[in-house]
Amino acid sequence: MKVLKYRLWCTTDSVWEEVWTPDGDPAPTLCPTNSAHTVDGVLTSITGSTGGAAPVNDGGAPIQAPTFEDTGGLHPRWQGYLYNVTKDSTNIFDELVTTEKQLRGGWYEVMDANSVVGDYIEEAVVDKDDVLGLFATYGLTVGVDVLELKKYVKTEYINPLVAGQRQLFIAKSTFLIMAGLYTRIIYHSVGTVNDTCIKVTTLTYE
Amino acid sequence: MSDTKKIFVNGKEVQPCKKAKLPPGFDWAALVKAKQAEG
Repeated sequence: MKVLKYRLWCTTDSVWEEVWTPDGDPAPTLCPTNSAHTVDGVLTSITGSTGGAAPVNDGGAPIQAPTFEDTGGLHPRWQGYLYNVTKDSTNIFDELVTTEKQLRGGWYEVMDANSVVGDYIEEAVVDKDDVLGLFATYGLTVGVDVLELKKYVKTEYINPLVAGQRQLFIAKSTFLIMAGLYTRIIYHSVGTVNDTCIKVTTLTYE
Repeated sequence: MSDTKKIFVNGKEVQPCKKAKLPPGFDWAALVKAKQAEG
């Protein structure tokens, strides 16, 4: 049912009032706060409406459910990981995906002041165990090699000045990850003095 | 990045391995659908 939103001027309280009325019904003439108040009908106007399929409550106002996110029936899951990074090396952190899920993104945060200019982070999805059966096609050896399926963050240089702040990666779409694959975080460290620590959170829908 | 840097996977030092990437335009959705059909 389509519902119209009217704005009424209550001269008694000298305030604008809002009234929702089904489309096709007469325009409201009574103040919703107190029907004994005087309404200046000349100033009454329509200021909005719902779509035809919008649900309404008994008072005619649209029902707006407190949705967490529009997830298409799936459940969002933020999974955090804490990683220690060895200085002056390539640090790879693989997490086995145990149930099928849809990856949307996530964020990382440098936990100390030990990153340096030149460090960068990458995030990918890989097949290490030939779950997809493509290793032979690409001449890879199970247990040794890796098939990179998607690198959704590439060469993201880290600003040492933003330690302690979340750096966000959220796509407008998701990437389906089957069980048996791995999410992969790569931290390339060029610093030669200190190890560092990062935390990474992935956002998936399950 | 130098090619001589050490590589750690989940904290353990490893040797460089072969890495392949899916080619541009790879029909990921079709592959997923086929794998799901396999059960």
